[in-house]
Amino acid sequence: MPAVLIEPVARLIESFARLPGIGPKTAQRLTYHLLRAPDTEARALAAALIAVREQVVFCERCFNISDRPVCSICSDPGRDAARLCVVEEPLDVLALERTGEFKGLYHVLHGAISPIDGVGPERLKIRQLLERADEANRAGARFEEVVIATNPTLEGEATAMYLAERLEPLVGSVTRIARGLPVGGDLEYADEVTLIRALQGRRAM
Amino acid sequence: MPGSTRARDRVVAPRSRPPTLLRSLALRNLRGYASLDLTLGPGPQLVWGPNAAGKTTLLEAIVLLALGRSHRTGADAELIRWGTDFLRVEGVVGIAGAEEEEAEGVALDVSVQAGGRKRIQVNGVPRRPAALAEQLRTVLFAPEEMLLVVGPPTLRRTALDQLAGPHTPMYGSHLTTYTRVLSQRNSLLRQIRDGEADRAQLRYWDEPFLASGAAIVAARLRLLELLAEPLAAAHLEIAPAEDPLTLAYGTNAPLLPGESPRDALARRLHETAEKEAWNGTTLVGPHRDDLVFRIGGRDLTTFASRGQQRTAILALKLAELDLLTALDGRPPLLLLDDVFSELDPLRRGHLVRRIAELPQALVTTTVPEDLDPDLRRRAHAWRVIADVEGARIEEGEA
Ligand SMILES: [Zn+2]
Repeated sequence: MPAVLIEPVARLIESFARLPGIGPKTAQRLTYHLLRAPDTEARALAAALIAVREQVVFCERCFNISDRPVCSICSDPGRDAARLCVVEEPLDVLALERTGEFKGLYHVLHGAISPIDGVGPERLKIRQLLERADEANRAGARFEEVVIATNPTLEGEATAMYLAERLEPLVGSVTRIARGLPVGGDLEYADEVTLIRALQGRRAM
Repeated sequence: MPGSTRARDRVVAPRSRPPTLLRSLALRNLRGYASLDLTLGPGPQLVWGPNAAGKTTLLEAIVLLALGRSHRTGADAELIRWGTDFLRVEGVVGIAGAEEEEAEGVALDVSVQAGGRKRIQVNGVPRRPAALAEQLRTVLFAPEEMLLVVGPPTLRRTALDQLAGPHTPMYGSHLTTYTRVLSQRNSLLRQIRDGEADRAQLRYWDEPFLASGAAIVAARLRLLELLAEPLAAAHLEIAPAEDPLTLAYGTNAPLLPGESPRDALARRLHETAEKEAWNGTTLVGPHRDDLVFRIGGRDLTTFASRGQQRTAILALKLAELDLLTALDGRPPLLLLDDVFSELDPLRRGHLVRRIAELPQALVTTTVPEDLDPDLRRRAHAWRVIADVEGARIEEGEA
């Protein structure tokens, strides 16, 4: 092994290591894989990286990732425009869409309030959310329901509380997604926090 | 109280269960150990060898099997032997007295990958860390704890948390929530102090702060109640001539008459609102509370001799043993990490007597001659050897 890595190799390892979930060892493995891989594979990856930066934008209404100024969900006349679901990340939209259960529109905050990470409400797409609710009111198309689907973490809950306070005067009703037991999960193996929350969220049958 | 499921009744009405033994222990790539397989019998197990040979690592392996984490580091990846990319600790816990062939035994298995990913299994089924303690309960007595009375308050808070955990379902979860919400709150307070954030935002963190903080305080207060009797008894046994030893909860949010821990914390948070924004940090809560040792009502930190401190710490350990025995209906596995050299012959005698009553105990020492001759005679001896191959253990006379 050479005493010093040649510069392009070192730079690629460093770039990989900066990605979330990738440690220095994995970064090295990926780099050496690409060095040995066929030329086409490496070039396809580089092209995909450039395309994702050049062709993907944020939807100007919901801030989900999109390949046009207004995303396919926001421009779909078949969606229920009276219902809005607020999520932290674009991936959450994907997860909810896979269920086919929610027929309304979305709003992506791009994070949750977290002072540790220097993320205050002004760093999220909250102002845009409130403006959206305002505009809907002015257009006489008040949101009947806004579902707050931020994560059930401390940060997600703080964000939900912050949003609920501000949305309540602007929309019909503000709801929060329920937390409970995972389907297929065994009661015996569920942790106490999940069990308690599931009990708190119980409903009549 | 038949039919009651309240947690507080668990200690009041213990059911006696057959004592268990750690029957085997297998290590792969844990610190100095590349590979080790031990079969352990009942009674005291004496582990001896030079410093840094791997005696404490052996106890650490058992703590890992009981708690799912080390008592020496929070970074699991640090435990992995240099040059390898995983570690694994396995153990079998079985009923004492049963023949090895007929004893069913419960298999515990903790492994950590280089990235820090941890897997815990009981009888081959993935479980949470709390499931381990249901099978294997340990009490560890280490030389660092000799500073408990006069050392910094963090030592005593850690001891309180570790004592309160087994007696309170969800204690660990409250502690995790509290730690996280406290650092969010402190970050926000710094931003408020520096004019970068608005004070109105604090209230989004108040509910989890009060809920988890009050749960921690309530659990600690209840623990001190439970501990009072066994502690007084143990102290009387060790130092019959001294005034009684008591423990008090030193808090910055003392309860007014009729007040709950949550009310008290909420009131103090309100009272310190100006000051905390000015300081940029949370000034009240269980992270600032302390455990106070008193003899005859006087605070031990201010006047205790070395001997009195050691008596108090030993009494606390013996009380912990009693409390866990009552909780589980059977005694825990006692792990003594080179503490005999820290105690004088009289105090050693009390510990030796207690070891003799336990189904199993692991005792490490660098100097076997320091140990009670009777204990040495009855103990099964293991010698730890460290060489270029790593650490290994041989059976043999101490
Ligand atoms: Zn959109």
